[in-house]
Amino acid sequence: MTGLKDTLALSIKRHRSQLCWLGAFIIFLFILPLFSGDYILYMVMRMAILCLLSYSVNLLLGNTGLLSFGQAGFYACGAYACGKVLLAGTSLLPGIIIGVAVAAIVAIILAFFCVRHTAIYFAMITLAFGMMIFSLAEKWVKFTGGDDGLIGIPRASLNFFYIFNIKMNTIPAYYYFVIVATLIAIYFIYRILHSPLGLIFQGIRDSETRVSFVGISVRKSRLICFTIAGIYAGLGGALFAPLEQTITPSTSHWITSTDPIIATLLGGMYSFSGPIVGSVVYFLLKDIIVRLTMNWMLILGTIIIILVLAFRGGVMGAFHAYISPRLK
Amino acid sequence: MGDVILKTEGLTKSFGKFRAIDTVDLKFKSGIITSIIGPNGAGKTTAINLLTGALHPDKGEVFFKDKDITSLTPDQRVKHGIARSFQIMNIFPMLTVLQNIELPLLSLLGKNLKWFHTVSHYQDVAEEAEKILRELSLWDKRNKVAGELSHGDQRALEMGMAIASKPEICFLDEPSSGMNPVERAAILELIKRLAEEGTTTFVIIEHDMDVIFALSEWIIVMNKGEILAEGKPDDIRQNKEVVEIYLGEEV
Repeated sequence: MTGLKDTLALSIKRHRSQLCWLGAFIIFLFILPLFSGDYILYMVMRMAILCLLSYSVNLLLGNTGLLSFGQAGFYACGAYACGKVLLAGTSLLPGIIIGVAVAAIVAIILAFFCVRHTAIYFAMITLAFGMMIFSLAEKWVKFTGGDDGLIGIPRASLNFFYIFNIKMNTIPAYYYFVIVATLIAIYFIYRILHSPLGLIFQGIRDSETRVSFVGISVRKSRLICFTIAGIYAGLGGALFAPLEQTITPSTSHWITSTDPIIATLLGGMYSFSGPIVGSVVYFLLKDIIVRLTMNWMLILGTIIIILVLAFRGGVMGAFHAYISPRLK
Repeated sequence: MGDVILKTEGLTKSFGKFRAIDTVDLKFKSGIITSIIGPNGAGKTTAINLLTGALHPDKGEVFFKDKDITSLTPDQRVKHGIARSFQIMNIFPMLTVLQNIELPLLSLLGKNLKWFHTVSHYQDVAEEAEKILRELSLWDKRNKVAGELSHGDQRALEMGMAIASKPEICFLDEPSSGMNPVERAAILELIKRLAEEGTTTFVIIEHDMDVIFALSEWIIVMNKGEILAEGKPDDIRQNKEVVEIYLGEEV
């Protein structure tokens, strides 16, 4: 046990400044409802959900080297499953858990078809599966409500048997739930990406053949990666359903898949915090530009082109390259 | 020592109409450094690809200690104890030197599905990685990104990755290609030392005759997808057919 304690102490010492930033950030998130209105809280929740979706994308993209255009499919699976369960009148947790579980199961099944392929083929096959889920959401009217979607999803209260019962009908209450769930999820992805499994993902990104020639099954590792990515997208969707209280088929459209890709590129796909920074910046940009001009897509497009041409590593990549060396 | 560790029977592989390997029976004996030589297009690299599982043969079988491994994938063969390095550099360029060595160790020590603790949490991996990196003289550069190393260091690192999985037989595909004479001497020394100290049997593909005759105890000469001759270095040197086709005036 002392070994663990020592490594913990060492890592705290080594990452002191980062831990301070992290602590400040978390405290900020927790006191935010005290001085801001519902609109800001709503925006932060959308950022948090986009952030989960971005981790889903970046687990595949920045870490395993696979670009998926189908993550919205799993997002929608999570959202619809959670919405259906909540409409049946359960409390919040069963909805979230079943939402995540459904997304995970769908991800495992599709993974068997997807992980054999790489590069453009992987992108296309995930796009195709994503659009299949979209048409299912649109056409399976009995279950999904078709074009109208699921309407009136209750923001059910969070209760655990008779131990506690927290009402979620106000925005600040649900805000705390989303923030806590997101922080826990980010903590887990941090552990995964710094673990042996995460190292294997990054190895696959660098050289697939080399990974198989060090004795690791690339297929199996990709399968695991794809499933975890599905779980994260599903969690995002499950949190999204009670927030919006309405789920439409557009949740699963491939356009929804591109938001987290853009956010990841903005934040930096080779940096752990890239998806967080990217999601925040993406929403801020969108929100600010929309107020100034109708043609926000034009401006966002320009920003993306500049990023790809000049700052491959995104905001965090630029930070590590130019700013953080000067701080030392 | 001296037992047949890996052999093939009637191995055949074609690419379209071109027969890269034509009913070849190869045999590798444990503890004996073997070289495969031959002109370009003789089928040397194809042979290694078939032996290590990168390619599947059209006909014929591969046996590892009398076990038929023909249908196994590369990662399953590594688990049996067959490793390799590549002719064209194949490392993880964006990972650090240490991480490059950790990957084969994670597989060897059965840590490849651990997902919660950091890699450095696993003492056995850390100790073994340090041992290998010191052996390669790369310990001081362990935190460098592998893609930024010099060519010679990258070559050494790649060999380190091959031997990290503690193979019984290890194929080195042109380990000294693109190296300057100093680096070449160093890598030769390294292979020699590893062969003497360890339990790994090395099989080397090389073009450099000095390297081959300095290292090998057994030489297999291939030409046009077939085995032309095999024997001890001195016998090969005197084999007229070999001299004509390949060695030329070099010997």
